[in-house]
Amino acid sequence: MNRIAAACMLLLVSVQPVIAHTGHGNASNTAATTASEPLVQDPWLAGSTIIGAVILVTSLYFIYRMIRTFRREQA
Amino acid sequence: MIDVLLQDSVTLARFVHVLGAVTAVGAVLVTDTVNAVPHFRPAFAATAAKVASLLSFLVWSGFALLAASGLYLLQIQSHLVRDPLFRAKMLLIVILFVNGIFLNIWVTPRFRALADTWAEDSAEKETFERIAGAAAAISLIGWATVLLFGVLITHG
Repeated sequence: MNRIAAACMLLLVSVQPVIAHTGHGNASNTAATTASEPLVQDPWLAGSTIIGAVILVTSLYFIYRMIRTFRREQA
Repeated sequence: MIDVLLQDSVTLARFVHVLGAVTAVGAVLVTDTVNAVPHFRPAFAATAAKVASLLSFLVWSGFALLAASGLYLLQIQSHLVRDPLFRAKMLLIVILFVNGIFLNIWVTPRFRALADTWAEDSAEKETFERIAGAAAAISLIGWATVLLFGVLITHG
């Protein structure tokens, strides 16, 4: 459970700049946002950031899994 | 030299990005070479299977360094997303990422399972060699292209 929470936190921290960049993470900007404005102003930036965050979390998970396997084999 | 790296976060992030690329591409090259040897020398299969997980660890470490520094650089140089080469690079990275998961979850464990009986010819081994060979080719060509695109985006 702690690992899932840590992964979610890391994912949120990684994606946070995109939320801030698009203006939806800022209270004043959010208030000024109208319904006609797209949710994400730059889909490529948002998509690339999400892909990067997913790759980072998955890589760290695989690294963790391998270290655990190496330790088990040593024991 | 170290002072410059520490003061300029972009230079530091670029250094980590190159380090990640070198680690991942180097590990992929060694993995493909080591895994090709049992095809010609079956006795080497057990050793190659043991080394495979260590090399896989290096590939994922490279991926982690690339992703962490890439995320930082992306926020600073967000204009790059408009470059068609950058978009092609991202698409290739997604393909390599999915291929990497497949190699880790399916290819490496099966290679370990088949390593002890590698000298014997079997249909299972033949199928495995074909699938693993295709995945290795995707990995090798993909990483080389990503590296080329990276250089072209920076200096092109």
